Amino acid sequence: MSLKILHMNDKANLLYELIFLVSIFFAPVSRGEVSGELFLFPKVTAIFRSDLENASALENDDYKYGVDIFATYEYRDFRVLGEYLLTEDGPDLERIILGWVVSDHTFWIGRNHTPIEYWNTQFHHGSYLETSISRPAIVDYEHDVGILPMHTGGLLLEGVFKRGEQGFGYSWSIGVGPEYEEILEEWHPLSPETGNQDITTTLNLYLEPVLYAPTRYGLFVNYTEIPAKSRGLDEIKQISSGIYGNWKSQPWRLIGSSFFIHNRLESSNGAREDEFFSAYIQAEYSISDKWILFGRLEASIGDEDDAYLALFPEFINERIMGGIRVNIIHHNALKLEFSRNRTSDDVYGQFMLQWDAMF
Amino acid sequence: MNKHPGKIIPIVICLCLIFVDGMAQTTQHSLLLVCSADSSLSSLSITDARKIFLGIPTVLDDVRLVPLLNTSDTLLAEVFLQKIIFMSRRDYEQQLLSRVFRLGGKRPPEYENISELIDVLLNTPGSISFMWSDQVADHKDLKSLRVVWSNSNN
Repeated sequence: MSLKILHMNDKANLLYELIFLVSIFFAPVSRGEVSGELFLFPKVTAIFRSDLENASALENDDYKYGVDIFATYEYRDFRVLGEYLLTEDGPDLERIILGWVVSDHTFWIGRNHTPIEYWNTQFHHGSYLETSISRPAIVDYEHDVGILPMHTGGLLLEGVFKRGEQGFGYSWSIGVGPEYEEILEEWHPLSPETGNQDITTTLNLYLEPVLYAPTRYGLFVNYTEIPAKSRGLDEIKQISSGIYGNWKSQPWRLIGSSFFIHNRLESSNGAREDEFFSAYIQAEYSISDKWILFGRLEASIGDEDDAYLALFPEFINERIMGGIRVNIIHHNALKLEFSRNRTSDDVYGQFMLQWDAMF
Repeated sequence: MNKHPGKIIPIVICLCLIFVDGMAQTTQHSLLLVCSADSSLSSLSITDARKIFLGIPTVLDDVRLVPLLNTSDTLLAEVFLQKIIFMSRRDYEQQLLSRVFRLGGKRPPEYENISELIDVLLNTPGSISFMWSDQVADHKDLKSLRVVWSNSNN
């Protein structure tokens, strides 16, 4: 059971389930001006690791399964989105947002994904939409030993300005981010009294050379104050910034991002400031609509003695990965992935096999 | 009997060419963006067409546009994807899924039956679709908003 579940009381859990049962039955139904969609993203993953240190916190074999339930309604200029993740660790409300669309701009309120770089705003928890099995470690979710605030509870304003065939887009969010308690703990809208979260704000600006086409280049900056409850820390002040790109020209796709991350760790004994650089690039090659080869490199500089990264010993500082995806039948995929990974105290190999789908 | 068969041959060839050209004229194909003839819309840009068929809310002349995908003809759908969306069918499906998953909204409905599509097109305010020119010519209650592609100027 994940730590988040321990934070939720039974009434909140029941309310979550009621909201989503209602969504499941009503979202796909169009009634007058109200219309909606319901997606289910099931997945089953087998993970096999080799060369682990004896003291490693990781398991040699690991099995994960779950289903991501997504529902959305639209009424005139208003939208509601909900994403509820059921996994072997239990249920988790990932997104619940209300949006107001004005021309090419949308104002959102609720718990959403932080508009940090590209990956975190494109795929969410629908792993079927990701070509690979794993996410880059730098954008792993908080509960998967992620080190950045991937969720924000609050406001998000996003949109695009047209200029000829080009689009200039923006996202700006402000709200509450995570707290640190051995892992980063996000804010939960139905149990807001739990936790001790503080401010997070992010600005993401991008260019689409062809408006609404997949290719996009952008930059982002995030500032987060992370209250800490362990390791003798009081608070972490974090600034992350970087550039990213998603380039697509059949049969190739490249997704890349670089991060410069500065942390100030404050405790009763004083403060320590550290910074490191991290980047990843993923290449995908479609042999056909059915077969896709992919590979990814992830690397960090300045991570060896970084005090903030020392709080996350399972964080993968370096990875070289390759794999293949087979779209077996309509909206069903099988993926294989091999990787070599380095954490602060482990270097190990990993083989992953996943089935995922979308219904 | 014709004493000068050599003079007739060029005439026959010219007549054949005129006939073949006439055949080509009658089989000319154009892909059109269309709406109901009652609609206040008079034209639609390629960018706006891409936008609405990617599921992005679009209002033009105070009318909220409703995209209807015509999947009655494989070639028609392929030309539409190439000329408007700039993606393969699989990429387009992924893009629609990804966009709805990220921003909400609804994917455009697909119609394999052209009669059903025309019926919805005529009865849904703001609805837009795409068809071959000869399909539009058969229905006076439809109007063209733009020629997307023509086999005479491709």
